[in-house]
Amino acid sequence: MNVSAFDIRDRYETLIESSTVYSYIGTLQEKDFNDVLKSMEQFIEKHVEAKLMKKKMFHILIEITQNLHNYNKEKDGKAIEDHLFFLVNESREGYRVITGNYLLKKEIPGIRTRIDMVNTMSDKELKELYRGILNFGGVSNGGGAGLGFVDLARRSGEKLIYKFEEIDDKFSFFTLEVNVTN
Amino acid sequence: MENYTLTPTPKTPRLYFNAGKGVFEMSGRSIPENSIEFYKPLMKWLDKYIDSPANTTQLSVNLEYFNTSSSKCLIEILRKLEAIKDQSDVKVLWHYEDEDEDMMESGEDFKKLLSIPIELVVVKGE
Repeated sequence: MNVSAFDIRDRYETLIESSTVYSYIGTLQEKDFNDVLKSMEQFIEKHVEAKLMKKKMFHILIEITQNLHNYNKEKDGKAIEDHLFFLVNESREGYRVITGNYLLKKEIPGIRTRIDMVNTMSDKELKELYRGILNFGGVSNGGGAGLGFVDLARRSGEKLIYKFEEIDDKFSFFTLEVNVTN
Repeated sequence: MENYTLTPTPKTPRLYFNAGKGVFEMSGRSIPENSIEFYKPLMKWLDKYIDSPANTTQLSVNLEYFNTSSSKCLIEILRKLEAIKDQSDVKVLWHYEDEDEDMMESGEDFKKLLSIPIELVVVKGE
């Protein structure tokens, strides 16, 4: 993989602002993950005031980091670069959570379709879709695959913003932004 | 049949499943990375329980958080209880903290998908 042509740290630093209240760049192996979980909790306890916002942020950050963690785990042995980042910027209405990770190019159409679909849906439609997937039964490999984006859209109440940047013929870089408003 | 109990961790809930009384409780957090693995022993235990359930079966869910992979397991647990509704008087109490609409809606999701009584119970904040 031609990682040298792509600078993840550069992307990360471009997104860091004076309003950045939490940021992480690295891998999400088991040990890292537990540390990250702890530091996320501390961040929320310290920075987020309203009780319900605390809950919402914790939920969204857990979902996002576990998605990343599971994604990279599934790709073990397939030589995917597992460095990733996520950060939280304060915004006027709440918080912007942004993540960045490498992925296999062939996965782009599936992800794009799912995000585009949830973005066109109303709260009521998202609720129906969530229930539909839950009802469908069976448990997917990643654990909750299929529910992730729906859950993020439903809880944040905002459109999901994303970007794919081509790295080479096999890999791309995926940036996802979730706005969490009061 | 022995009870199934598990002490809580920062990522996993307290589980107390009393077979003789048919009193089940889940509380705390359910955010393990691998929910299927975590809930597997409980599923096996429930498979045995539903062979000869108590006259009444009451599950009390009092979760602070759960991730989407846990929600898939939760519905499996509830489905097992749904399967014995003719042999046992099954009831689920779904607790949510006052004003926590997300948790209330999650309770409604399950209520909508299952044919056993699920009562939403508000817990007043401290």
